[in-house]
Amino acid sequence: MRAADYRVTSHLPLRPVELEILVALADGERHGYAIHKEVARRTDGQLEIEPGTLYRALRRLLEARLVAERKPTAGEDDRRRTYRLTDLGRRVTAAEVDRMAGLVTAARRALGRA
Amino acid sequence: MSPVARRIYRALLRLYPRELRDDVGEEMERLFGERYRDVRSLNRRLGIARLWLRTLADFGWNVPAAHLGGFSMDALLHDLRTACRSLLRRPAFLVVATLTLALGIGANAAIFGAVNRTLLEPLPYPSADRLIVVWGKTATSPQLSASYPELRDWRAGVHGIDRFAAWRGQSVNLTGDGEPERVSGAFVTGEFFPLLGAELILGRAFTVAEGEPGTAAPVAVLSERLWQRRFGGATDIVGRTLILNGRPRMVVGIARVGDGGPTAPYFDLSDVWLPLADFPNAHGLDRGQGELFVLGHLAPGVGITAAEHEVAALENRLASLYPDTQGGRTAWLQPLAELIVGPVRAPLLVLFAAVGIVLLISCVNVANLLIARATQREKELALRAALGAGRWRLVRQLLTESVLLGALGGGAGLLLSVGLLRLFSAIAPAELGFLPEGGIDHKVFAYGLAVSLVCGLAFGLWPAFRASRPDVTGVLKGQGAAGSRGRRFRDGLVVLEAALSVLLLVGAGLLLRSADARAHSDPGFRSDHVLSAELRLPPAKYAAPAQIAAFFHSLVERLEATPGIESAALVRATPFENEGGDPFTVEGEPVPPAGHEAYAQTNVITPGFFRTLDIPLLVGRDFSHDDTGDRPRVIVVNRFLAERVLGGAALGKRLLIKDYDGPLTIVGVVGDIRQRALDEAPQPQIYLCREQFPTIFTGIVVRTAGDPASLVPALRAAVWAVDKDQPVWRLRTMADLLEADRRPMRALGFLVTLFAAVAVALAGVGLYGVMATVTAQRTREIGIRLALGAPTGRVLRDLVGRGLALAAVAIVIGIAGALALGRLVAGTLYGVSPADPVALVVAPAIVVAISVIASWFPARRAARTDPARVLASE
Repeated sequence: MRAADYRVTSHLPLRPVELEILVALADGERHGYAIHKEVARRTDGQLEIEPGTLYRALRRLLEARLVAERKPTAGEDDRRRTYRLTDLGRRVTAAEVDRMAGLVTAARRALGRA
Repeated sequence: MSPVARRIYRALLRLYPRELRDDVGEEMERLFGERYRDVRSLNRRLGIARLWLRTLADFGWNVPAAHLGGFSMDALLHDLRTACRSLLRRPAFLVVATLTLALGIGANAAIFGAVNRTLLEPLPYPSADRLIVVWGKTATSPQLSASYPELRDWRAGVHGIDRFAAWRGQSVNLTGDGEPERVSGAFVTGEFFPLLGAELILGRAFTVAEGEPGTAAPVAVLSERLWQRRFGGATDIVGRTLILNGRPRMVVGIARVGDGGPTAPYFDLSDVWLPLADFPNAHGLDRGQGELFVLGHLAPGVGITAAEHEVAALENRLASLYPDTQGGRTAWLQPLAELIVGPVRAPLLVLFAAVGIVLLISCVNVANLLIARATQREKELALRAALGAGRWRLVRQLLTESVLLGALGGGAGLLLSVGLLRLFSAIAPAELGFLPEGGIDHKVFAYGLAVSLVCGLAFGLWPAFRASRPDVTGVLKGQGAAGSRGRRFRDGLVVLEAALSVLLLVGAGLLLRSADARAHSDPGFRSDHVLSAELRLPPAKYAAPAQIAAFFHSLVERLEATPGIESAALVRATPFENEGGDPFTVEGEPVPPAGHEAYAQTNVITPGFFRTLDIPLLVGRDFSHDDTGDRPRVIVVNRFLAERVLGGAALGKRLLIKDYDGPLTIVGVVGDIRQRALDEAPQPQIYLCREQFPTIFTGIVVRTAGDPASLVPALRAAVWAVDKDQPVWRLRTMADLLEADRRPMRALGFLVTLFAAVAVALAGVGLYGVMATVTAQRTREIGIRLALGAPTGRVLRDLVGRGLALAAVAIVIGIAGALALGRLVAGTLYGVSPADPVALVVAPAIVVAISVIASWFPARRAARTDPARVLASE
């Protein structure tokens, strides 16, 4: 196994909350409230990530370097922190989605055969 | 967001670890504020309430997770690995700590097993907590059985008790189907079976009508035991006819009552149940004949007090309706559980308290060891703190170690408790609640587990917090600083341990002294070389009084002619086997109101009974063979009755006892004996002459020249020589009967002493640990003192003196505690006061001796140090 692969796969599987956050960041930088809204929108309000869960997950993702954070500079109007996907984060998200797709395909096949 | 909501949210945020709060607390609060605003604007019903619910759930889930360290499972495993490594690095500490805890937890789990089985679990009957016993009482007799007409009145007139059942035990002769046999039997009402939830293995129980006088049927129910033993479990038993008490009866069912365990009460243990109507005693079912043990079931929603008032009110009416038979009589209720487990409760709780103290001492001991260890580990912890490990992180690591230790100790303790339970049930009789099959069930396991975890936290918490605050700079600079900081605290722990040991030792001493007092207490007769037995003649075969008299006459003659038997006598109630009692009045004295008559233990004997048991004849004469039925009725009374009731001049006075045709003239006075138990108070005793009051039932006592047990076959042979079909049973030596009375106290004393010994040993280890650390820390000072010419003896004295000072404080506290708690055990003691000087002197002496030993060895080692080497190592 190549070193680059290992760097990605060692993060799998992701927790559901973590995957939701990463996907919410796929199309650009967002702050906490925006992540919360985006996840709720995409899941039709099924999943509302509460602050404790959201920020603890973000801290894990930061530590794992899957997301990067931009702290507001002094004097900036909006003092909220924003988060964006890192390159690694993007590749891990893709790999996780592929992994899940593989599971789904295999499961569909198994059910179809049965 | 409203200011109130903001304040609440901020307060909640404080639950998070500081580091997380500092990092993202503000962000979280902002996100919450935005959601709050959204929910408000939507204006949905209960929107805000739902938001708060979700928020609380968020905190409930994430706060503990955050404290456990974010990556919890990994961190936990890491902590466990580190803890294992750290514990294994010092195997001696690990072994000592684990064993200490195993002793505490094991003993605790074992006793809990007994407490749980005996006191906590319900009795093996349906709705057992609503079952009660109905007793009668008068001013002079607190606990009387009921008569059959009384039972009928209760059934009709008491609504607070919706079901009644009556039981009267009496052995039954079983003949006509193989060998004649006497089986333990009971005469019961039909309600007996459903009330106690009897399990019917075959057939049916008899109905209420089949049990009552007037409608009774010739039926019988056999026990599962008898069915298996005598009939080999034959399934065609139902419908068969057996001859019971000389009358053919049809077996209608096979039943089992209760669980038949070793503490099963007497009414569970019959082998044959017959209709109450067939109770054979003459007039046995008349009013005033207190023959029945009556069980009742409290009606739904009725308390025991209310039901008792109702029964008592009815008894008052009956007393005025039937002044001759029920005058002065009332009734009271006792919970059935109280009757069965009441006597076991006090000793079991004493044992539970004892093992509680042992557990406390083992926890204190391990805490002490952990502190000593933490002192040794100061460098490691200071280094880790200096490298940036947070305080919480260090506490967590240390707590993981102590909880792991607790779990190890708990595991070992549960294994130990299996063995201990076996030991306890072998040495301690069922009277202490130890049941042979009472092994480790899931409840004991859960209890042991909970105790281990609580202990692990309890003894680990304080040392962990202390150790997590190392004096980083001081320790790393090489000054072994923290020694003095913990010394006072460790001293306190040792004092606590030693004080608890004193307490337990005093308790053990008191119980041992009680057991000793009981072992040497005089029953009023000589119990060695005596064999006893019982028999009941079948009434069908022995109908005429002359036949009965002839049988017993030749039996005594044969027994006295048997080689090895020195004397023989018959007695209705063999001491420590049976008892009987009746109210009596003195002829010529004013008759007391009904129910206020004096009460005496009554017994019916043959001449030679006093000689056989070696009961001293004080004045007058023993019965003789001339005291026959056609002569004036004579009695012998005990000293208590002669002196306390008759004022000394007893001979020639005449007594009246209901149901015994009188008047009865006193012809002799004998010494007091204990009839039922060694701890019963002296009371009036009256002996009647068997030839004047013959019965078909009797006990036999014989005094033997050699070992009484070896005379068992000879006694049987003598009975069979008179009537080859006559069963004889309960062949026991009087020494065994007394032993049964003494065993519970001795077992209790032995067990508490065992626990006290463990406690003292643990306290000794704890003291040794403290003294060893203290002297090790003072090696340098001692070296200097020795170098400056201080005599070794002086140094030794100082060090040992320190240990003794701790012991002295402990003794004062322990004795004070023992005196304060003395009241609680007073009821369990026998013949000794809770402030017994012997126990109060010996217990401290043991603790002093242990402290000298525990301080002597470390002190001697320190005093032998070579001053030059100590000073050179600086």
